[in-house]
Amino acid sequence: MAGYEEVDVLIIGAGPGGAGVAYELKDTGAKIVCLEQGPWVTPPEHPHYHDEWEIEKQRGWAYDPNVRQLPEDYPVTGTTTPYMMNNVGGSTVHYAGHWPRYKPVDFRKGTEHGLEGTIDWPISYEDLAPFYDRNDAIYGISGLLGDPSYPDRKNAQRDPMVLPGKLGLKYAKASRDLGWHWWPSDNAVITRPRENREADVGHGNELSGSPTGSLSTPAHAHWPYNVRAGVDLRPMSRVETITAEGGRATGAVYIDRNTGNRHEIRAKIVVLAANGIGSPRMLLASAQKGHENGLANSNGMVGKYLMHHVFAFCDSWFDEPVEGFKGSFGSPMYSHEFYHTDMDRGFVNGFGMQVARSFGPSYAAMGTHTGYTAPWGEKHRDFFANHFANHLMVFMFGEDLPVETNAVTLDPEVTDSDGIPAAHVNYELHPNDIALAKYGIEKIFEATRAVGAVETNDTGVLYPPPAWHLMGTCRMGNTPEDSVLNKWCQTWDLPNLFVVDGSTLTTGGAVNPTSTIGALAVRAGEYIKRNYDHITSQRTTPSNADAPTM
Amino acid sequence: MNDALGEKPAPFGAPETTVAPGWGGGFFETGRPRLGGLEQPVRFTDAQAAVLNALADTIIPPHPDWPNASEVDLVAFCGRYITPSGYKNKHFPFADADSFTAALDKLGQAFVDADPAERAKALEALEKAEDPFFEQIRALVYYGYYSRPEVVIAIRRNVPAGKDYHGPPLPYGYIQSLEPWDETTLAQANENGSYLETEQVTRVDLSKLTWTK
Ligand SMILES: Cc1cc2nc3c(=O)[nH]c(=O)nc-3n(C[C@H](O)[C@H](O)[C@H](O)COP(=O)(O)OP(=O)(O)OC[C@H]3O[C@@H](n4cnc5c(N)ncnc54)[C@H](O)[C@@H]3O)c2cc1C
Repeated sequence: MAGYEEVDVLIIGAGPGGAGVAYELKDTGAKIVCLEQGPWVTPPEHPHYHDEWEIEKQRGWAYDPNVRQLPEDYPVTGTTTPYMMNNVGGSTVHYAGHWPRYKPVDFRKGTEHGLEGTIDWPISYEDLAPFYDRNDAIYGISGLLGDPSYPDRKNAQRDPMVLPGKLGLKYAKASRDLGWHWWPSDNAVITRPRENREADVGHGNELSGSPTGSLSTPAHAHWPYNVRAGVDLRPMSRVETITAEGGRATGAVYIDRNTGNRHEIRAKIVVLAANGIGSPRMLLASAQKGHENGLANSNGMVGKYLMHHVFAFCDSWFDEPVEGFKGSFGSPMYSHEFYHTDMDRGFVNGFGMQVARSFGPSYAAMGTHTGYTAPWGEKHRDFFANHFANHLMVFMFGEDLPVETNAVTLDPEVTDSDGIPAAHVNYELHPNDIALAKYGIEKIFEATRAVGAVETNDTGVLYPPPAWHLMGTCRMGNTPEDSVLNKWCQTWDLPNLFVVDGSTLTTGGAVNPTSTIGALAVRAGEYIKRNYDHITSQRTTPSNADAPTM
Repeated sequence: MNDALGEKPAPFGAPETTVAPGWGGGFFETGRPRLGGLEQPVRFTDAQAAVLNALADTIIPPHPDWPNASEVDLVAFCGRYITPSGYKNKHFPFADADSFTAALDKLGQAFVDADPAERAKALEALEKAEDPFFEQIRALVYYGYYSRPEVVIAIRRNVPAGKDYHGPPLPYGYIQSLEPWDETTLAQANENGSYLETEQVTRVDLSKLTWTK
């Protein structure tokens, strides 16, 4: 490793966190490098045009890197099903694109109950609201404004809603008949074309990505523009350690995965955006002199308070067509009837009901989302005829408590292909999460039975949960004692080291996290842009009260 | 459930240098597995192919309205999606050619010659014994059969809920046949729902928690 290069801002990870910060900084003239361990995923690599699209979901398009085992993936050990993608665009390259926001109460759960490790966010919904709007405009979001379960969002831009189909209409009717809240979903799916992106054609299977660009991901919405503006995005570049000296981050050592060579890069500001598992892994793997427990970890909180949301999958079948194979993800509609804490239920927090699309006939035969596999032999044909596309799945999607022992650590033995320690996850469901989820399953079936479900099946409370939401492991907080980051995503220990991704989230809400991750990225990017000189001269991280404002 | 649960996953992902990617399964070692499976499928003997087809007809029995499972070339499909001898068995359905063909050989001509009831019994025995071959063959037959264009045509013809199903999601999508929101339903959407303002959030009564740790 001879010499090093010097840049202004180094970003690690090209998912929503990293892409969002780069987007805000791209026109500042700063020299910005983003290191991303995976490649660009090209349109022909997607399975959508192939007869075999369904089996491919289990292979190169499996959500779990331990199953998928691509060269850019790293092992995650422990009792966990970690779902993530490691490539330009990050895990959004196969996300569903459901795009709800947090509600005001989600930023005040410390005040509301403070159970386990729950604290208030250092910011409020009102602080983040303008950044939600800006971020939505960058991604391209379809939906309908006016949901009474949220504050007014009149400045948000929306493409026309995705079409609900029979499936969306059915659960909307169920909710309405029961007098429950429901609303057509916001989705990161464009229904009007944009530069280099086609409008949605209701094809579905966004969970294997989007070869046409109709799914709004940083691979489509950010990186082409970032690169055009001069951001130096380096795919196939895997960070091994983040370096530090004299109380400040100095840069990183990374491996060029094309050549195997190591390089050192120094930067005035380092933004870590490797996701809720990858970021604590990097900080812990960067233990060095003066930071023996890992970087930014003087209080031992890096990796702790991991949240995934608590899930159950609830399948219902009808004796009439539902046609779940039609239509784009994330979701045609949701119900937040049970979102808020109601102590008469005996637990805190709440859940959302997110109506899901289905896939094709193989998915029906293989047992949809709940392992209800079609019988083989003489009963097969009848089963298939009665179940395929008569099916509706609803996610019971609950808020899980941040628990100190639910944590990401380094695996002492397993490494990735470059010798970097694997991440190890310990995650156990809390009794509050279980109580909440059981209640939620009942409520979902109450709704589907009310509109004629003839058969139901569910997974029960899923353990390990489907870990597609990786949150809380480098959380923002109020003091250096209760968190890893201040309210501007600066690590308390190293003022020029930022963490901006799912790990930043203080609590999880009962909604998908990416619109919030994106809004935080816009906000952190804007903060860096406005306070670049201040940040680069700080010797210690300012408290939330003392930090310069926007 | 992933197969790494409770065990240490192999330190995978190392760029191996067996054969060139894309050739004879090279992608099994070096990157995203090739869409459509192997470019050079695993070959079966005629006898093995006959067992495979007999298995297909046992798992999804013939029906006058549907193509026979034994006649939609699931042999080629299986050949593309199992792992050739000598390669890491990394990808779904996690069937390595050596054990897979050995299982076919074991069932052999006797299985082919058996009547449907006897065949079902033999398959049931594998299922009861939790023989990994059972899950592999069932998955391959389900995924294979329902991916074939002639079966997609039959779905459209035979299953009312599938009348618009056209196989691969793209290029066509379903925008032409999806129902939109109707105005009456939408107009009622804002009848229910509320939120708490930031300042309205107060401590809840935690004595009402019903769970214990
Ligand atoms: C199947 C699935 C469905 C989902 N559906 C939804 C949904 O409907 N709605 C929603 O809001 N969210 C959804 N999500 C979650 C969403 O994808 C994530 O919230 C989001 O991508 C997180 O953004 P991030 O920036 O935190 O991390 P990521 O998007 O995971 O990006 C992190 C990036 O960092 C890179 N990286 C990590 N370590 C290193 C290193 N050492 N060196 C260099 N690069 C590194 C990784 O390769 C990766 O590209 C879904 C996720 C999955 C898996």
